[in-house]
Amino acid sequence: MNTIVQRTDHALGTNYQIEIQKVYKSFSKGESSVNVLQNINLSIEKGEFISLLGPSGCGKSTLLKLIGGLLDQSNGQLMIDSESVKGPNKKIGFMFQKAVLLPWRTVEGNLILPVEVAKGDIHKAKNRIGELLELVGLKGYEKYYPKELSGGMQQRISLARTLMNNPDILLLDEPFGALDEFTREALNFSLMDIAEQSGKTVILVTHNISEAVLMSDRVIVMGINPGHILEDLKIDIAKPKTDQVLATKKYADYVIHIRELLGVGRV
Amino acid sequence: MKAAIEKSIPVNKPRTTQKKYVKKEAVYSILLLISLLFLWEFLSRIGVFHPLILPAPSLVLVATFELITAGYFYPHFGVTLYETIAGFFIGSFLALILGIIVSSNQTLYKVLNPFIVAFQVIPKIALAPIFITWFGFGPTAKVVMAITLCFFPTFVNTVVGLKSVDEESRLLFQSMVASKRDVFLKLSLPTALPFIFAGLKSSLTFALIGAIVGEFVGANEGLGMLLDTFNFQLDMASVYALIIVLSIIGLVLYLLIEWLDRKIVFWGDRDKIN
Repeated sequence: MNTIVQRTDHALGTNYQIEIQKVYKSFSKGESSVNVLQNINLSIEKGEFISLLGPSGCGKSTLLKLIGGLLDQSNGQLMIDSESVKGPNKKIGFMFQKAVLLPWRTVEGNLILPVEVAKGDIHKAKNRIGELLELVGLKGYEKYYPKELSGGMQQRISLARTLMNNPDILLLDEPFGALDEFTREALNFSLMDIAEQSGKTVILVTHNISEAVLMSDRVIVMGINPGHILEDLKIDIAKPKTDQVLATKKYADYVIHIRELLGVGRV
Repeated sequence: MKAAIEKSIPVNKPRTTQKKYVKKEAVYSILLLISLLFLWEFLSRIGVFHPLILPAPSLVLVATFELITAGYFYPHFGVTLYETIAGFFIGSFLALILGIIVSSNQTLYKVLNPFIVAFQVIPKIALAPIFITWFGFGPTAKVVMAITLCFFPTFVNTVVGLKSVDEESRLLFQSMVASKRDVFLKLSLPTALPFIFAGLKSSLTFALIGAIVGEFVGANEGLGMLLDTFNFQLDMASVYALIIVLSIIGLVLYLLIEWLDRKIVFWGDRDKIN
């Protein structure tokens, strides 16, 4: 094994923001049930950027939904800030592969939605809209309707909406997966900047190895049948990460290591 | 770096090319109509069509003019319009409310569904004599007939529309810890609106049918009763004139809803439903 590749072993302590212990998840399918996640153990510190990486069917999206309280685990324990996850949590901002903007609302109306739903201060929130639009590079688009925006722009609005209530934790389910390569890269860098500046904990679900290595502090490599963690890999590359990283041996070693782990390509 | 690529993408180009096509097609439609009318007039004049079977367009036109200038016409017109509109409002309102209630609860839906299907398969026109027995020869029986006929299109579309919310939108609201009320008002109902309007358009046509059929079965006023009378007198030109008047009522009411639809459901999605 490569020398730069180290396993991170976590003792269960109280300084973790998210703690997942012996979590199992199965879905019943008629009479039988299918195991989707098996014995997941994972601890995440505040401010970490984590990628859940694996092929389709490894349960990475399911794990994200468990953390977000959108699904219940079949077994095991899930804690956020030392409290059991019992449903959706206002500390969490969830972002999906589709932008899911409401077509009858303007950009502004879509951004105000989480504040309305949380019965927050709408007036204060209106000031925040300008800042967030600037942050995602769409300043001045308040009055546009979603159908007037490209897919990439819609996903930027979706990101801004996720940030609207200022959640501590961002759960991103392949948020840029449906976009073209160029747009996705641009948005990835935006996301890295935002995570870096805000100190938010980010969990990103992806099946793109280079993206995971480039963006994350830790890559959780997952395997299938049933979904389990193959390796919890710490990425030891200095921040801020730029395009230059892509040319380093360290980066390439990580990518090759994960490819071997997942059995991708010719060995 | 950020949005440079996306910003260059043009935003919602006006659909000029498509409009041109629509205009061209409209001209063809009108030309076809005029040609058919001329053919009909010609065939009537040379005696191919007997005036009792198919009166010439010119005769129908004259009859229409005579009808709408006659004093006796307007009370009948008013009654049928009242029956249609009252039936439509009551029927579609009930349909909307019941659609929402039924959609709100899976158990309720399953319990009520057999009844709904059973009622739906009744040829409701067959109920007209019963309504006359219940409510007499006045407008009430016709309003009830209109309600019965126009209930289903709006009801079914409301249920389908409320069910058409996609999974990710639902998850989004769930992740924002939204209340049931917020999910309904801010997501489900707006999502269902294009479907509901499509239902309302059908319901309107059915309400008019309900009023007229009700009048056929037994009435002392209304355009349906008038039509029956003209038919009995073999005044065919006036029968056709009435059909034109009834069609215009239907068309005007339809266009009103269409206009309302475009005002309210401004974000589109209409095309894939209709």
